[in-house]
Amino acid sequence: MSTPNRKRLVAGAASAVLAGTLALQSPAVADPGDSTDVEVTVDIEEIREPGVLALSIAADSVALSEDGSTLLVRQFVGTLPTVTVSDTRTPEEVPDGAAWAVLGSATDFVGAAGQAPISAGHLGWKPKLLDGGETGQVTEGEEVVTVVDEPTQPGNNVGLVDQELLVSTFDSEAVAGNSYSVNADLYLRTPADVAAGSYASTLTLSLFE
Amino acid sequence: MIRTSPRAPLRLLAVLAAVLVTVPIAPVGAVAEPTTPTLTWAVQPANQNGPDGRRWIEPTLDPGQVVTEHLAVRNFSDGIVVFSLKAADGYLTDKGRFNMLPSHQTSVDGGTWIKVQQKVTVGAKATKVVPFTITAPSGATPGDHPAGIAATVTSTGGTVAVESRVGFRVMTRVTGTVTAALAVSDLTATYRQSWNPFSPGTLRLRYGSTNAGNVAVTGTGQATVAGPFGLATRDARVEVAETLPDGGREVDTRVTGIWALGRLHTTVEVTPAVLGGGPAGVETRPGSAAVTVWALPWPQLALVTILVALVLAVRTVVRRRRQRLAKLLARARDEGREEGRESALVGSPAKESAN
Repeated sequence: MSTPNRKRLVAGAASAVLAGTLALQSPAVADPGDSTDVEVTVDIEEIREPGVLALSIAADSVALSEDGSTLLVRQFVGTLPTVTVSDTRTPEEVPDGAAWAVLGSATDFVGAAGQAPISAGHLGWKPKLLDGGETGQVTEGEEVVTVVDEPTQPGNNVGLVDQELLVSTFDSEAVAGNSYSVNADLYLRTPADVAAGSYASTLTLSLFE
Repeated sequence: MIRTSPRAPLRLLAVLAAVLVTVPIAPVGAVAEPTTPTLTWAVQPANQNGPDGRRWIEPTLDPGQVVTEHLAVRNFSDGIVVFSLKAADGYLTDKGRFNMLPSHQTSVDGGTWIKVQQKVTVGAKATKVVPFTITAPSGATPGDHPAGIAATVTSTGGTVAVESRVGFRVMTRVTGTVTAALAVSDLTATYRQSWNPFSPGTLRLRYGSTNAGNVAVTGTGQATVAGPFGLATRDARVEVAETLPDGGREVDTRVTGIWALGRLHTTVEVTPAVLGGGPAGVETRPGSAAVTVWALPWPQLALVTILVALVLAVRTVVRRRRQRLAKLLARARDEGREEGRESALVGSPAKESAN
C-alpha cells in the first residue's frame, strides 16, 4: 500500500543516522582550534528519469474448468490474469499521435497424448476493464466468441486466432501518467464429442505503441 | 560515471536502511512477507548507457549493412526476472495496431534480420541494456521491413499459458527507390434515404485500401459523387490511416447531402504520403476506383403520389358532389315538372268536374 512512502521514510532515517555518524567521525573538521572555515556548497539536481510505458501481469497461469456444458457443447471457463498498463510519462514525453494497445492471440490447444488439436477458434474472451481512469479514452476490446457460437457482433465468432484487442487507447498523450487494468473472461467451447485428455495453448499478449 | 556516481550511495543507503531498520524491528514480517507474483516491466530503445528517449528504432541501411543497437529491459518487480528476448516481423492490424508475429509463427522479413541474445536476467527494480544487431541482407529490397523486438515472460502450467510481451518497433528502411503507392479496391456504395422528402440522403462508401508500395504511408484523397449529367455533385475528404507495405485497411466513409436523382457515379481517389516526409525522389502512385449506384427518390415519389392521390380525390369528391347536386337539381326539376303535369292532370278533370 504505502511501500514507496515507507522506503523513502526509511532511507531518510538511515541517511540521518549516517550523517550523524559521519559528523562524529570527522573530528578534524569539528576541531574548535581550527580557525579556517571552509564553506562547502553543493547543488544537487533532482534525478528526473523519463517515464516508461510498462506492462504488469499477475503471473498466474490460467486453468480452465468445465462449467456450463450442454448436451451439444462442452464449455471450460477461466479468467485471464489481471493485466495492467502503466504509463509514467508526462504528456510532454509522449510523442504526438502515439497510441498503445495490448493485443491477444492464442495457439491451438494441443493434446498431451496425441489427440487431435482444438483450434484457437474455439477459445473466446470478453475483456473487462477493471480500472479505466477518468478520461474515458482507455477502452477494453470487444468480445470475441467462438466458432461454435452465433456472432454477438457482426462476424465476431472467430475465436482468438488473430490479434484481438484486450485494452487500448487512441491517444497515449491524453492518458499518460496513470495506470489501467483489465482482465478477461476466457471460455473454450468444443463439440460434446471432443476427445478427452489434457490440452495446452499459449495466449500471447503484446504491448506495443 | 557522472550519472551513476550520485545514485550509488543513495542505493547503498536504501540497502543499509532496509538492513538496519527492517531486520531488527520486524524480522519475522520481512521473511514471511509473500513476494507479489505480479511482474512489471518495460522495454525501451537505448544506447550503451541506458534508455535514450527514442520511441522506436528506425535505421536506414544499405543492403549488406549491419548496425548495432541497444534495448533497455527495465524490471520494476520485487524480484529477479529472467526475460526471453524475441524479435519478429511486425505488422499493423486492420484497426491500425502494431504487433509482431507470435512465437509459433515464423518470420520471413525484418524480424529475421535482428539478432539478440535469447535471455536476459534483470534484478529487482533494475535496468539492463542489451545490444542487438540489425543486418540488411545483401539482396534486401528497398523500402520498409518492419519488425518488433520484445522482452517476454511466459507463465506455464494450467490449460492456457500466458506469454506477455512488451516491446517496440524496429522499422528498418533499406536504401533504394522508395515507392509510395496505395491501391483502392472493392469500392461499394450504399445509398441511405432520408425519410423526410425535403432532406437529402447519405451515401456510404466502403473500400479496401492496400499499400502497394514499399514504405509505410498514409493517404488522403477525395470521394466525388455526381448525379446524372454531373448534376448535384458532392465531395468528401477521405483519409487512410498508416499502412505498412502489403498491409491493408478497410475504409468506411459517408458522403452526406446526396439527392436521389437516379444514377449516382462515385469515384474515390487516394494519394499516398510517406510518413515523416520520406527521402527525396519518392515515386508516388495514387489509387482510384469508381462505382455507380442507383438511388431512386422513393420518399419524394411517395410524396408526389400522395399529392396526386389527394388532388384526384378532391377532384372526384368535387365532381361527385357536383354530379349529386346536378342530379338532385335534375330530380327536383323532374319532380317539379311531374308535379306540374300531375297538378294539370288533376286540375283538368276537376275543372271539367267543376264545369
